[in-house]
Amino acid sequence: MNTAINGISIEGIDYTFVDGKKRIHALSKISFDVGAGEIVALVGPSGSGKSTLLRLCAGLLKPTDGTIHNTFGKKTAMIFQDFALFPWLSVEENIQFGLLMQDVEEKKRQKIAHEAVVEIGLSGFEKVFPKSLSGGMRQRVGVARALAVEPELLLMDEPFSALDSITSDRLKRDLLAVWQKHKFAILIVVHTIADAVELADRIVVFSSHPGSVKKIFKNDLPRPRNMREKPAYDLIDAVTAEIDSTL
Amino acid sequence: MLRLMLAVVAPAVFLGFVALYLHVSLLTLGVVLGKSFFRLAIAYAVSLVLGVAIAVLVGNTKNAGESWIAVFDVAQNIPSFALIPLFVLLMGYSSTMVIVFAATSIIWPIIFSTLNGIRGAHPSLNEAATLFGASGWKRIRYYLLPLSYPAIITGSIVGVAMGWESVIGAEIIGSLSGIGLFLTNASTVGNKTLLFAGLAALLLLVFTINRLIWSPLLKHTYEYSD
Repeated sequence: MNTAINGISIEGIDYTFVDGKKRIHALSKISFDVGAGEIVALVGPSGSGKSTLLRLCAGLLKPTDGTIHNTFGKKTAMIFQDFALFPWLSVEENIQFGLLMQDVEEKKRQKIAHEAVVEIGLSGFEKVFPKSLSGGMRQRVGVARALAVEPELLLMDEPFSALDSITSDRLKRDLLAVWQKHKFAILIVVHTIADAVELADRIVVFSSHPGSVKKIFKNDLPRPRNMREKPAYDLIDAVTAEIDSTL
Repeated sequence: MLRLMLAVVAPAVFLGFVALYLHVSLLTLGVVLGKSFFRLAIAYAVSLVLGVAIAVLVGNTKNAGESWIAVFDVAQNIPSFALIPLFVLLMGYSSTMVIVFAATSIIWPIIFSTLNGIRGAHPSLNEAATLFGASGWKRIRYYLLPLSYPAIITGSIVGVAMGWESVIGAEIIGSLSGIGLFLTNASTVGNKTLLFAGLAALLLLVFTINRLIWSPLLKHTYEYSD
């Protein structure tokens, strides 16, 4: 594996944890990488350790074995399934959180937050607190908070799972527009295979017990992707069949 | 607004009634109540700072203070009045003794409540704070403290209620001037008017503190709960 690439190289990752008295082998010999500007989707049965791998990439967990070489370093941000917004902070304060931690001065923080607000469609909601926002708007705050730190790698843990399909489609569209503009790398866990096909350059299929990479699909469908045509359907079918074969 | 008026007007009306019809010296009542309240306030301030500091430091450790909880639980279960002889030996029959004694009862609800606030946070909130760079003092200042603020308030309310008991109890046991001793003396000489006035004044002070301080703070915590 070439560790010199500009991106994140996951090399032979094993992850074991203890739950009560049981040792659980969550991930086994995971290897793949995500290059700059690339979108890689992780799909597979629940419990196959996809979210765990995301947390290892974020540095929130330490691998039992193997290495993760992340040239993006601190330029790594994350979007959570349950949004994980700070309920005591307003929308704009939530967005500025990462910048505040980096000691960015107030004027600059406000400027960057304002740009993120405009970009992700939160104008007029700057002073509002998360609890009065809908799920879709909350996740937009989550996206804006990540964008504000100008990430080179964006980790997303099932960002659409808590949203209804209309809201999720809109957010996906806007997210793709933001990605087209900034071209950061994305490592995303999704549970809808169609979402993986629509978003990703490569689709990594996981199998479970222990979580391991079953197959990696390359997705060269031209963007913007038409999800109502045969090539998209064919890829969805192929990925679905691969996941089914793991069960 | 109505709450504010009630909190101010009710005590005023009561005090007028006490002074005019029961012929109880407002000055005496005010002084003894003031002494007890002062002791409670100091004990609370000390407990708040120490309790929150301990809870935040312990809650910020890797397994969120799992092992410390057991230690705190044992310490909390020491019957607090059993400590009075020790404190008297160390500090004599003094205000300091009452304050230290009261603090030993106020601090526990604050520690436990604050720790619960930190441990009860959704794991992803913790991850978001870490990932977006909250570490060291900044993690405390911008994440742990605001996170546990509602728990600090509820812990304080319980703690102060226990603090009143401790202050009054210690005053009675130690024969130290304050509302505790005032009530004991009134009872000893059989003066029901004084006893009633003292009890009512105490209740009223508790009521006023609740209306003016705890109630608005509690309401404020609801505003940013999820």
